[in-house]
Amino acid sequence: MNEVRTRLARGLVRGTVAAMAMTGVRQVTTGLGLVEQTPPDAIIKQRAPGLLVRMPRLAFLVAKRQTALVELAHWFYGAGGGAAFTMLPDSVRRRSVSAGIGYGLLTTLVFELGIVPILGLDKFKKIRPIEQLMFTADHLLYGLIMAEGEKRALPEQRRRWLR
Amino acid sequence: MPIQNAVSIRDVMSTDLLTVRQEETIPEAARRMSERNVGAAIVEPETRGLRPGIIAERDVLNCVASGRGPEYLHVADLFTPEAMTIPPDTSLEQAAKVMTSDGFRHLVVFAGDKTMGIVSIRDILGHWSREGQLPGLGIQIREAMTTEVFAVGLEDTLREAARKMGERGIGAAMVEPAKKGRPPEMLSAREVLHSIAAGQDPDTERVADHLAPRRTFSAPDWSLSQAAEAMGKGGFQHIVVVDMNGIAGILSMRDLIRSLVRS
Repeated sequence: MNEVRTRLARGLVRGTVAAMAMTGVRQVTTGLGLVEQTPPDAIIKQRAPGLLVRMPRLAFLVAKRQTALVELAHWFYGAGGGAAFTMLPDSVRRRSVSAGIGYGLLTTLVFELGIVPILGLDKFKKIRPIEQLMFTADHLLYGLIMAEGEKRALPEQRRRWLR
Repeated sequence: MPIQNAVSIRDVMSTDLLTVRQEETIPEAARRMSERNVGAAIVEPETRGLRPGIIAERDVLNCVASGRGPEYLHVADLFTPEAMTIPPDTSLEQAAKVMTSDGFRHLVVFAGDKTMGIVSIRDILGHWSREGQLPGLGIQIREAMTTEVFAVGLEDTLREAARKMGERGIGAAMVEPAKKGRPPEMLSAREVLHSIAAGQDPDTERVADHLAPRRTFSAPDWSLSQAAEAMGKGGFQHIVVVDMNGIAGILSMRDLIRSLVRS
C-alpha cells in the first residue's frame, strides 16, 4: 500500500515537472509562430465564456488570472497523467524510450479523440498540421520525461531482473 | 454566414406593447417601464395612422443629465416622434443592420397604419443565440469591445453620474468597487430609470445605492460567439472585459451585434 502511495506521489511530482517542460517548449513554438494557440489556452478561451459568464465572480477571477490558470490547469492534467503512468506494469515502465513515446502518443490521442470532441473545440478553429506536429512533439517529451524518471526510480535489482 | 434570412422580425418581435400617453409625467412613464422591465415604450401619435413615437430609458437618462426635474416633465417633452419603423417581414439581419448603422436599440414594427410590435437588440441576439445561429466563432471579444471605458464614483449623485454619461453618449459606466481587488461595479441607464420610477431625487441619490444588480466579465481573447450566447441567454446588457492590468474594455449588445453583422 505504501509503495503504491509512494509511486503515485512520485508520478504526481514527475507529471507536473514534465508538464512544466511542455510549457517551456510551447513558449518557444508559440514564440516562433509555429503554434497559434495551445490546447489548454483554446479550452479556456473558447469554452470559458459560455461556462463562466453566468458566474460573474468566477469569470472575473479567470479573466484576470487567465495565463496563470491555463498553466496551472495544464500542470494539474500533467500530474494526473504522471500518476497514471506509475500504475503501469514494471515491464512497461522500465522501457524508457518506447514507453515514453507510447505514453506521449497516448496522451495526445486522449486529448484529440476525447477532450477535443467533448468540448467541441474542433468547431472553433482548425488546427494546422504544423501545430498538430508540435503538440505531438511536446507530448512525446512529456512521455519521455515520465518514462526515463520512472525507469530510474525502479529498484536496481528489479531493473536488472527485468532487463 | 450562418445567420438565416428566412426568419423575420415577425417571429421575434414583442407584441405585448407598453404604450404611454404624451401627457404622462416622466416618473409615471418610467414607473410603467420599470414595472415591465423594458427599455422603451411606444408613444401613440395624436393623429391616427401616423407612425408612433418612442420613449427609451436613454431619454430618461438624458433628461436627468440635463439638470431638469423629471417630475416637471412629460413624455411629450422627451419622446422621439415618428420612431424608426420596419415592416414585420424584415429579416433579422436587415433589422440588426438598421440598428447598428442608425444607433437604435429598439425598432417599431409597423405595417399599413398599425403598430404591430417592437423589436430590440436583445430579441435579435436572443433568437440567434437560441437557434445556434451565432456567427463569429473565430472572432475575439477584443475585436468588438469599446476600449474607452468611463467610470463614475460610488459617492457621485445620480445626477452627476447621468451628466457624465450623457456628455459621452454612453448608456453604462463602470464604478470602482468599494474594496480593492473586488470586481468592478456598473451603473446603467436602467438603474437611473428605476430610481426615477421610484420617485427618488437624482440630486440626493448616490450611485452606491443604484448599482446594476447583474454584470459579468470576460477576458479580451475569449470567443465573441460565446459572449453573445451568454448575453442572449444570461440577459446581460454589457460584459466588462478585464485582463491582469484591470478593465480592458466593455462589450455592449450594440458592439456585439455590429461585429456579428459585419462578420
